[in-house]
Amino acid sequence: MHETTRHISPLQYAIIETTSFMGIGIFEFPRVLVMHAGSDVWWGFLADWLAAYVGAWLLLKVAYVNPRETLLGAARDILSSTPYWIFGIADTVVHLILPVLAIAQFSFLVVTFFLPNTPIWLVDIALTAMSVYVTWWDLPALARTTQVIYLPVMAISVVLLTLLVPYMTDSYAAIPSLDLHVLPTLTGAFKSLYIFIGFEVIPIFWPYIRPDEQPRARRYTYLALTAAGVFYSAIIFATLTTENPWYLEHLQWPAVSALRLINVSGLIINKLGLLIVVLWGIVSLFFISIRFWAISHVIMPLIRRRTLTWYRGINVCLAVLVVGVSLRFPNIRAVDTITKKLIPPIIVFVYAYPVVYLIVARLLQHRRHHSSPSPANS
Amino acid sequence: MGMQAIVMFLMLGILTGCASNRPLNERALVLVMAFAPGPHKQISVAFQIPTPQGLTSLTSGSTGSGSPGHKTSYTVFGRGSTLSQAFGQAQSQVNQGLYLGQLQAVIFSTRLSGAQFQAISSALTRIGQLDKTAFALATTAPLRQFMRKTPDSTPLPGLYYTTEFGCSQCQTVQLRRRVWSIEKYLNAPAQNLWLPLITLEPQGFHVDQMVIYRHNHAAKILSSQQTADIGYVLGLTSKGAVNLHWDGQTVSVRSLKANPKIRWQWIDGLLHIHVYLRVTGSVEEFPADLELGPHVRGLQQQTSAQLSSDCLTAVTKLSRNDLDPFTIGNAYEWQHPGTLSQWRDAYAHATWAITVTVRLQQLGDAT
Repeated sequence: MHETTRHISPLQYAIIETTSFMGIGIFEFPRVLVMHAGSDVWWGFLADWLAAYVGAWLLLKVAYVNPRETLLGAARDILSSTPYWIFGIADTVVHLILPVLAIAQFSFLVVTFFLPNTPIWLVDIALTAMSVYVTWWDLPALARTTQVIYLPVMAISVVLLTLLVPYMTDSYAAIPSLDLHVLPTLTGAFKSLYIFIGFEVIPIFWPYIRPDEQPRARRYTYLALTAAGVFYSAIIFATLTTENPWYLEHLQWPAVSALRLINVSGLIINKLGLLIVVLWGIVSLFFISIRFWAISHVIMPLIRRRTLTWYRGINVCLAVLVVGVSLRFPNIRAVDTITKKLIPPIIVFVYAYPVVYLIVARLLQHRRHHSSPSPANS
Repeated sequence: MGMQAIVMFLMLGILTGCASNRPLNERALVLVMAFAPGPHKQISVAFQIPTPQGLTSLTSGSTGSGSPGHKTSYTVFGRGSTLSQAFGQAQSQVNQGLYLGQLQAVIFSTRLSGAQFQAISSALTRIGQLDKTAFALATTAPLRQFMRKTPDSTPLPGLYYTTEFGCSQCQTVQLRRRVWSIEKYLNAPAQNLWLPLITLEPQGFHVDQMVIYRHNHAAKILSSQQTADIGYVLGLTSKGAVNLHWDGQTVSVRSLKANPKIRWQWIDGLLHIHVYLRVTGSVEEFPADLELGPHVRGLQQQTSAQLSSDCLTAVTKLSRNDLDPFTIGNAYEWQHPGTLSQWRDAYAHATWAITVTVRLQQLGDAT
């Protein structure tokens, strides 16, 4: 592959995992959680947050199995041919579903609030073309662009959420409940765990960090999860207290609806809240870019081609595929239904494969240790 | 580099949103939208649209500069058994697209039936381009009479609402309500919606009353005094006034602003609601022959007594009518789901207590 500097910094690494949250989670959250958990919404969210740490811990373990090789490259060492292909294809499918859902979700949002008369295919193509453009110069460029946009957007979002304070009339809804209903809370937590989906790229990007910076990257990963959790808490607080919990359940995009209320009269852009929604949209383009990158880096070792031309070619094909599939959704309702169906298996996959992978790797290491005194590939 | 330039120009071309943009002269900017029941269970809708003269009269920034001979706005009426029929009929009378992105106010007639009100409010939340931060008001006046009225204070009726509600400290009771919140209260389990009531006067309009809805229909119109009293408990009154008799003379305490806290508890299965009001105010009009200093404490006590008895009457009346503009019922239902009917019953028979502590902060510079 054409090489400039192929390394990314620990901060960029951590951001790449968190940008993914914006893709499909932020707009709809916390509707599903409130619908199931009711007043136990905070406990449900805490369960999600904890699960995210556990997931990150597992995936970091996977990354440490072979820290100099990409996930699929490392998998080839420990899996035999057929399971290796099955794993590769499963990983590709998971990474393909996510951008389809993200692009469909965001293009419906754009058409609803901003461009009511623009045909949706135009919005889809424009957004996907933009994401391909961000991936064009491979990982370091992608990582830097993400970093440059992500941090200011988060800062502005937090500032703007404070402008909602005058609208927060239903403060009772933010008080954590002491009457815990375990089953509905956990159901809600499981169904909204997709807000943290994105950390599944942890082992994929791991070899791009310099070896001496890897411990720091690990710390940053946990810190990024903490920051994202705090941000989500702010969203829960703001949406619950502005729109009361019952109205929130009726809203397709509760956070967007709340931000729409911000109206700073006298400022050039008086609808400041909608501005931030646009910025969230740009961040969710990175989500799609990162998936494209991940899929092409799963496919490339599978077909044993590793040049930049192949990388770009695969990305363009993926973009065409993603646009084609996302245009099949007639409306946001259909996106919702499919998301509800597909996200649970994805979550199960993201949590199950590290466990299997780690067990297989451990067994193999054990066997090698017994057969030859110097382990060849660890 | 060439690739970058191409992509950038491509993005500029397709992401501007110009594809769906239409010039201003193809749009009728609706400033006020009003709904009333028509004959045979129909819905009447009215759109108030500024004329070009009306629009340019605004750019000068001063009020009343619109030349008197010109009409500043015109109104289009539509009627139909469904809202979209009524919209269609109104649209057919103008050669421009009715554009709702600049809406200033939405007026609901109090005579709308519950079903009609519900249908309208849910339709409004589905119109993507409608500005959800427009003000919502209710009126008892007939639609045509109401829409043809131009207030003396502003040349453009639609602008009246921005000036009336735009200034949060100008109103005696901050009665502004936004369109989006209607749907919020219609979905709330216990809390009732209230809207400011706008009444017609010879000079224009006048807003100092509130109308409380029971679920989705107008149930009770409060007098302006009751509105101010309920306003204290809701934390909305910012310029309240109380007149007291002091040594046979009239003393007036003004600029009363309350900071409410509502607590409740169950005692022997009965609901007790306790409202704590921390009120600040200033003394205006005090007899010149008396020294104010020694009387301040007494004045505070008397104001407190007066306020607490006024507010107690107002809230008791509401709860006896099973009307609840407060958030306590919602809070109870949120913490104890499924106990709403029990709460409602208890609320209607609740005993209220109101503790008012008045601090008179500004006494003026004469003692």
